[in-house]
Amino acid sequence: MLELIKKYINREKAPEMLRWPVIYTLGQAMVRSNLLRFPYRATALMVEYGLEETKKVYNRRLPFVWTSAFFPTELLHALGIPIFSPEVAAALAASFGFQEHFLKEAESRWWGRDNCSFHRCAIGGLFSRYYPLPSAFCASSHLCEGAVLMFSSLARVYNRPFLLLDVPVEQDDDSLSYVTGQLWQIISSLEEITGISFQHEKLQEAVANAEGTRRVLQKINELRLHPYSPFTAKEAFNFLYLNFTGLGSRAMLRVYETLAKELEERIRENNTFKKPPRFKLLWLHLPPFYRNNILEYLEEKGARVVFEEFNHVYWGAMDASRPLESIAGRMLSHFSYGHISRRIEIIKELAAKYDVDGVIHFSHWGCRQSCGSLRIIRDSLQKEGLPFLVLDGDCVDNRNYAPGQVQTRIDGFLEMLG
Amino acid sequence: MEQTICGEAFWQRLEEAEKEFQQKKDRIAWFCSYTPVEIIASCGLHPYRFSGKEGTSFYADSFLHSSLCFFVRGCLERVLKEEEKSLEGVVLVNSCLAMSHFYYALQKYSPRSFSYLLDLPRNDSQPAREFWAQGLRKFHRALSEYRGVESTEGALWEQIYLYRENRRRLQGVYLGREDKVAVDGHEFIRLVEAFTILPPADFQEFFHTYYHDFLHKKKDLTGPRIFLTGSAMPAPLAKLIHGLGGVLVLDDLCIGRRILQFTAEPEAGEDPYSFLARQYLKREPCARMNFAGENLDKLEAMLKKYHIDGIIFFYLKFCDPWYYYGQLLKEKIKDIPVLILEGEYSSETGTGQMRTRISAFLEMIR
Ligand code: SF4
Ligand code: SF4
Repeated sequence: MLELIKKYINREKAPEMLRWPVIYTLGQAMVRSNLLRFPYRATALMVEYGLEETKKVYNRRLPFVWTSAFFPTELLHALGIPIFSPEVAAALAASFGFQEHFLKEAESRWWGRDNCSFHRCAIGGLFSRYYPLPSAFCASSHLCEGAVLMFSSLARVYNRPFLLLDVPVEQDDDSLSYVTGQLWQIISSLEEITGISFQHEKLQEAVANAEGTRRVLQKINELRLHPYSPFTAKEAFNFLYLNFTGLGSRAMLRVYETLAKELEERIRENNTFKKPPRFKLLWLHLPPFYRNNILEYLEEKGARVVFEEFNHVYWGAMDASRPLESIAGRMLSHFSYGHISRRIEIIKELAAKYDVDGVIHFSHWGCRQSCGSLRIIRDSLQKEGLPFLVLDGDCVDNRNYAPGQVQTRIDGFLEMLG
Repeated sequence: MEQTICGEAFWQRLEEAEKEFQQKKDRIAWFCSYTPVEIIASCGLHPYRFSGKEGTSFYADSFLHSSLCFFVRGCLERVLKEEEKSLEGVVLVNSCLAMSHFYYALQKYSPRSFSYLLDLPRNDSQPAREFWAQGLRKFHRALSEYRGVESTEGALWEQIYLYRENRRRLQGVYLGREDKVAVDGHEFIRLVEAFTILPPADFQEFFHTYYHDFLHKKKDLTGPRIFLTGSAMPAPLAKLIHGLGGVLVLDDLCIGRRILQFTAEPEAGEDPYSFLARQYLKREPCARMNFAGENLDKLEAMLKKYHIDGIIFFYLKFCDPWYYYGQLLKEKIKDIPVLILEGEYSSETGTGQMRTRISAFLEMIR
C-alpha cells in the first residue's frame, strides 16, 4: 500500500500535497485501519505520531519551530511547541522521490551543490513554500555547522527569530554552566515568541521521558546483540525520525517501549526471518534515503549491518530534578563532537560489542562533520585490524547515485573480508 | 595603472624581514584571527600567522577530506613540509568544522610539542564573554606551563598594549576614506599581513617608514570604488583588483581591517582575560559568529557613505560559513552591485577566470 502511495504521489505536483493537513488525517486513518501495514506495531505508532505532529504544523493554528537535528527537543516538548525538522523532512522527501523538486528549487536560486543536500532540500522546500515557515528557527551548534548557518540565514531572510544553542567542544564544568545558562535563555525566548508559559513540572516530565527513553533504547540495543534479533538496520534507520524530534515526548517513550516488547517477543518465539549473516557490519553516518538497494545488496551477499553509530546511546542518566543540567550534559557528551578520538573510541567500542567483521562509512557529500577526519578514522581502525569501507555518496540527492559502482566497491570489500 | 606609494624597495625589504623571521625558533603558528596573540607573546614565544600554501591539489589531501576548504588543506600542506619543521607549536580555534578537523590532522600527522584548540563561543553575550575569558585563562596557564615560565597578568597587559598600539596605528590608515583615496587598500592588507607575522617592534619600524611616505602622498586614485569582503583568500586577489583598475576603498576581511578593532580601554578592575574576551568578541564578526548577519542591515548605508560603486565578495569553495553569508549579502544589498566569486586558495589557477570576471564587473560599474 505504502509503495502504491509513493508511486501515486511521485508526480510533478505531488509536493504540494505536503501542505494539506487533510493528507495527514487521511494517513492516520489508514494507519489505524491497517490499510497501511508496518513490520512492527511500534512503527505504526511512530507513523501515527509523526503524522499528528506534521498535521499540527501544517494546520498553522499553533506556533511551531524548526529544530536542527541535534537541538534539545526536551525543551519544546515541555512547552508543548510542535516541531518541524527540515532534515527529517528532506529524508522523507527523498524516500518519496520528490527531493529533486526541492533541490532544483534551491539550485535555481544560486544555491550550489557543495553543501549538505539535507539543507539544500530544506532551502528549496521553504523558498517554494512547501515547507512551513515557523515562528522561530532553533539550532544547536554541536556536530552540524551547516544547520546553524542555514537556520540563521533563513531566519534573517524571513525575519524570524533564530535561537542558537552554542555548545563548546570541551566537556567540563565551564561548558556545562555556559550551556545550561543558554537553555534558560532559550526557554524564555520561546515563551516570548509563542506566548506559552513555561512550567517547571513539564520540563521535569520531559526529562523523565527522555531518561525513560534512554533506558529503553539501551535495552533495544542489547536485544540487537541477540543472534536471532529480527531488527534490521533498515528498520532502525526509520526510527531515527524519533531520535531527531521526539526526545522528551511521551510518544517516543511509548514507541520504544512497544518496540522493545515486540523484539523480546519475537526473539523469545525465535521467530527469525533470516539466517545469521556471514559478515556483520557496523554502519557509520546515515544511509541514502532515496530508493537504493545497498542494504539489500549486502544482505544478498551474506553481509548484514547489525548496528548503526547513530543509534548508540551516548549520554548518561538524566536527572529530572536537575533538568537543564541533564540536557546540557547530554549535549556536551555527544561522541561525534569534539576531538575525533571520541568518535573513534565509540566506533571501536561498538565494533567490539557487536562483534563486527567490518565498518562502512557512508560519506554524505557536504557533511564536513562526518567526513572531515575520515583518514584518521581509517588509520585508527586499520591499527585495530578492523576493515573499513568508505562509500562516497549523498543521503538525499540521488543524481549521482551509481548503483553499479557502489556494488563493485562492496564486492571488493566483502572479498577482502573473507 | 599600478601605483605604490613606497616603491618596490620597501615591500621587498618587508618580505625579506618576514622570510628571515620565518627561520626563527620559538614560533607558534596561528591560523584564525580570533587567536589571542597577546597571550602567546606574553609567554616569550613568537605568534606567527600562518597562511596556506596556494594550490588546488596537495600531498596533504590524503589526510584531510577533499570537501574541506582549500585554506585548511593548504595550511596542512605547509606544516607537513620540511621547511616548517622548526615550528614550535600551533594554536587553532574551533572557528569552523574545517579548522577542527585540521587540528585533529595536525595532532595526528604532524605532532608539535605544543598544540592547542581554543573553544570560541559564537555569541557576544555576557555569559559568552565570561566563557571565553575563562578559556583564555586556561590557555595562558597551559602555554606558561609548557614553556616553564611564570607569565604574569602584568606581562600579558604589556603585550596587550603593545599589540593594541600597532592595531591603532593600522586603523589610522583606514580613516578618512569616505571621499578621495590616495592609497589603494591592497597595501593596507599587505601591512596587516606584516603585522600578523613580524614581532611588534619590527613591525613598528616598517610602519614608521610607510607612514612617512604615506603622509606626503597626495595623488588621488580614480576608478570604481570597491568594498572587498569574504573568507580567507589568496593574498594577490586584492592587488589584482587594483591592477585591473578598481580602487579598493574598504575591506571587511580577517586578513585586513577586521583584525584591527581592539582599541578600547580596559574597564576599571577588569582583568586581562575579560578585557581580551570582550575585545575579541565585540569586533565586527566573522561569518561563523551568530551575530554576523546583524551588520548586513546597516552595511549598505555605511557603504553609501564611502561612495562604494561595487562589492566584491570572495569565498573559498567548501567554506560553509562564508557561503551562507554570501547568500545573505546578496539578499540584503539592494542598490550596490555585488560580484560573488567562488575560488580556490590559489593565485595561479584561479586568476585567469577571476581576472575576466573582475574586469567585466569593473567595466559594468565604471
Ligand atoms: S549530514 Fe552532516 S551536514 Fe548534513 S545535516 Fe547531517 S550533520 Fe549536518
Ligand atoms: S575559509 Fe571557511 S571553511 Fe576555511 S577555515 Fe576559513 S571559515 Fe573555515
